[in-house]
Amino acid sequence: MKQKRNYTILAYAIVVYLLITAACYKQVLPIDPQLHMNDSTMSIQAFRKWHTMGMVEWIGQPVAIEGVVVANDEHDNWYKSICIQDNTGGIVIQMDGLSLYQNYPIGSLIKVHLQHLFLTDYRRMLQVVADVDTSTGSLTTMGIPKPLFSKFITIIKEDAPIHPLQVGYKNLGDSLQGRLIQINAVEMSALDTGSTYADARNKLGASKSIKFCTGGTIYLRTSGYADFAAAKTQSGNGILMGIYSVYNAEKQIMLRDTNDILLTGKRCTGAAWLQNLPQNNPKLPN
Amino acid sequence: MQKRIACIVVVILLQNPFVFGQETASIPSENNLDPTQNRMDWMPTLLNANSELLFNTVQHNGNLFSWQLRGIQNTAVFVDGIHWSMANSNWNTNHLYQGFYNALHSIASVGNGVFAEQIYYPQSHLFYATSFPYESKKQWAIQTNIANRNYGNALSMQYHSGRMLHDWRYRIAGFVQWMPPASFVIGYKKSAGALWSAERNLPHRNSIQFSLIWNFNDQSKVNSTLKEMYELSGQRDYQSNWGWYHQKPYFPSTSQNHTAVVTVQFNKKWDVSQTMQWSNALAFGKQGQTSLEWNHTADPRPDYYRYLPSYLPDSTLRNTLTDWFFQHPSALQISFDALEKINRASPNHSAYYMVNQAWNQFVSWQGAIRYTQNLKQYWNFILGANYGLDRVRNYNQIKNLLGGSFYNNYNYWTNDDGSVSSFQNDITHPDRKITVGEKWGPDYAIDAIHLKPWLQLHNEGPRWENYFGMSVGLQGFRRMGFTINGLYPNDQVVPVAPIFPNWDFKWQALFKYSGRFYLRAIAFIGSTAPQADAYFLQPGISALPNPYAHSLQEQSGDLSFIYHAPVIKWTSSLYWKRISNASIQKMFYHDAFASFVYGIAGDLQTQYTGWEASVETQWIPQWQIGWVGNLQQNIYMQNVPYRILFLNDLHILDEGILWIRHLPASNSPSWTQGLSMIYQATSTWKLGAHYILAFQRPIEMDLFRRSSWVKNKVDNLSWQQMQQNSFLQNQGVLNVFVSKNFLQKWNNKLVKWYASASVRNALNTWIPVFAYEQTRFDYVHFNAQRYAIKYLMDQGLSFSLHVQLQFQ
Repeated sequence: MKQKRNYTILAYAIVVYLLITAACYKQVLPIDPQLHMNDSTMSIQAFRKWHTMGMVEWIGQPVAIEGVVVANDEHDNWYKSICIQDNTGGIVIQMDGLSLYQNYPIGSLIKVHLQHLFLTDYRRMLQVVADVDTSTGSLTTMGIPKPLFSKFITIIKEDAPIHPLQVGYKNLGDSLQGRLIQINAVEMSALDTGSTYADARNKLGASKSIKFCTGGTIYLRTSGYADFAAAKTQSGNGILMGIYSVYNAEKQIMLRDTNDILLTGKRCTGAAWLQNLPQNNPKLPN
Repeated sequence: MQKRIACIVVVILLQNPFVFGQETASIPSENNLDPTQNRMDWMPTLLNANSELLFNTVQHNGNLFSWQLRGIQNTAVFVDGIHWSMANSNWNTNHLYQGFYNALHSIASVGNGVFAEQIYYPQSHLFYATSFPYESKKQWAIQTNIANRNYGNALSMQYHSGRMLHDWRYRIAGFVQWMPPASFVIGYKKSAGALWSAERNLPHRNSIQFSLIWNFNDQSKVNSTLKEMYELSGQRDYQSNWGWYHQKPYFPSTSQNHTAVVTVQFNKKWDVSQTMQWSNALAFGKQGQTSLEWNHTADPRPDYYRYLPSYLPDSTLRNTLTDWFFQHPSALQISFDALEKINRASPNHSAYYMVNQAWNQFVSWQGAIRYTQNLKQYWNFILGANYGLDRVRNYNQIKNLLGGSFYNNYNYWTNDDGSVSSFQNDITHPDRKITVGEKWGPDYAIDAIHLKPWLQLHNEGPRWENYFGMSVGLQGFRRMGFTINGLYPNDQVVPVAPIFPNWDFKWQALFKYSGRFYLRAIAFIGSTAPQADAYFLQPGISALPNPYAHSLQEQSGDLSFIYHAPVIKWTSSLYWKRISNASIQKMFYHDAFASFVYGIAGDLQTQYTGWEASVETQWIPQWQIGWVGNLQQNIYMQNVPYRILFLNDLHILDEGILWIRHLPASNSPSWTQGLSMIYQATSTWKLGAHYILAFQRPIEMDLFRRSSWVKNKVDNLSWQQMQQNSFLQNQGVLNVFVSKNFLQKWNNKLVKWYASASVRNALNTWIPVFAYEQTRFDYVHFNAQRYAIKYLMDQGLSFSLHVQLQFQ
């Protein structure tokens, strides 16, 4: 009888032990680091050549591009997109997420796995998107969904050096799209000086004319959502850094923030204009 | 929502097979027996022996379907004569005895608004229990409970001293409950408590009783989510509110309870017909909740609608994302390592994400006194009063900065209007950087006071029994701010507080046709002051009242037919209840105004009507078979006015009518049936099964989706769809149990064993415990699928083992 009771107690103890210690939770592994190991990397310039303006290319091959993030949404002048560049060119990556700058700060070297994405353009500005829709008659695109960021984008390293490409008006062309460029000896047109970069109150974007002392105009495009949209434009002459973009035939440059612009020198007037030289050319901080 | 989850927790606590109140049969006490009742024409009242089959079925088996008797949760628990329910609703009084429901001793339980012998209480179901010593002999008891799901494991003990020197007796009880982290998907639980109570009989038939209870609880919280998430995860107990942090599961959504309760009760008995009981209790401690907070950054919730396949219009991309979730289930949880990386990389290391600890620190004094007097032969009355005074201080602390160095003390809900102070939580200390453990955000207290004298009169005749009860009282509260918010710099302290009258009358008549047939009627009318959280619009930052907050008016009636024979018990009730003057308020993001707003509405009138029945038979020896059924209609009776207020300055952005007339006012099923079969194999073996079927379970509506704003902007067809009732699938659930008890002699001591095993949801049915429409709605494009319905799923097949040893 006593032995039987002992067995009962033992059986009960075993059940207790199993219940307390048995883990019914499935340990979840982190995202596979070996993913996309076989993707071949190509230059951004070569990748851009795949595109025919106005068309949509679906990328079926396991290819990738590597580039440094040169613009993001930190100051809300860019929305749901980042720009990356390598030594050969730049491109816009559309991403359906907010606060991208927290995961992809400027200077991050990333690898974009392009298979199953689309290469298209918006008003001739090339971009990589995750989805396109033409059912409404016009092209609608969608960025990479946030949960798939880690599927399509790998961060290789942070704090990669960025060197803006110094260009003159005559060098501006589609090959510079998405790249960080620096233009020198430029100034706002007289009409645009002293105004705001954009209409922050009504959240409307604006374009300001930037004149080259050597002749030529590029437009400084700013979103109405940019956190510096309400800031006053500078009236002097100087240098300007930003991402080169196009809107159809219009050549544009977009600031990352107001540290990219320094127009405090004397404007190209009188003899300076004739000589095509600004006076007291300032320097941007590094 | 928090109230709903708290309510579920209470139900789960109460459904433990050994909670007080399960066996609710109470035997008429000696005092109730009157020799004059031996008259030939006297019909005895035997209803007290009724075990309330319907109520027990709903309590222990119906909660899976949110089954509420009378369509509304309305249960009052009196412990040691005290009902911990008051105007200050910022703390959960149900948690005072959390974990101690095993140790509390049930004295009485009545339902359906029936009068109780101990106390007058205006509304529906009432438990009356005690923590004081109740065994006259020395006794040890130890019990353990093991479950594979949300109950976790528990160990508890209890000791009764029996009568001791100087007529003292005392009782000690304690418990621990635990659920190890990562062993269960839903999270973790740690709970412990201790109870000491004593009683001494004093001269002249007086007695005094004390009890001291300490209670600690820390557990993760469950949350509701979208149906899509359950499908993607393939788990019915999927929870979106936790994630991985340093390769371990981390639960940012938790709740805490640290409580102590001291109770003193004095009993005076002049003679058999004249008694008095006076109870006073002091409770103090704090209750808390933690949650993940974020600002100026991406939404970290994996079930955010933009992150889900259903958001994607293209099927290829949708499939890609779906496959990604299937292959990477970790993507369905929060990645705290990623959040930490973002915080560490932020300028100055300020935290975009952090875990907040909200505290409700309370001290409450509650008292109750009652005087009972038997008058003449057939009359008795009870005169009593409930009173209370309490303060709850509400504040936040940073619990975890997730790699950040500090958090700005800003009100991130405020819409940025360019003012430098509007977003400051504390303008006397602006721009303060908060670190772990420091207070931040709103810091305020709500003081509440109530006094409610009452009277209960009882007359018993040969054929009729009549009860009459009434109470008239006052309830008031005030808000005290300890910081000055940037939005309301002149609204720090409001010393003048509103006072509301409370009153009610209740009458009950029982006609005793014979010793087996009874007819019972109950009528009630009353007015109840609003709770503090319904009165103040935004108590965290100001004392401005909700203009729609008024006292609730309630009328109800109940007519029952009862048949009690040795082999069959049959009860059938028709009821009607109407509650008027209710108000609602909520803060939410309004897509059309692109800002946070307050939605307020008033003059809500709800009506609860229905029929309840139960039949219990013992035709077959050893078999006890019962059936319960319930038809309910719980609806709003009228369309009501509403306003949408801008969060910053409360100016009216929109106002109109909420078109809710005849829409469901409760998510309790419209039609429910339950069958229970208990087989008593021997005097010590018992087997049982309960099967519950629920039909037409309404999905809880967001009333603001039925506003004039929407009506004027959508097409007729869409509007008609919004005016239709949405129901969950009709479903059933099977619960079974087996129990065994036996006696043994050991070292000249009597040892009682009691063991039971129960299986809940034995057929492993996928059952939504409840479902509701989200507050956020697409007020721009009116896409009803954009912010989909949220669900809380039952965890499926679960079992519980219980063993109790009692030494006497």
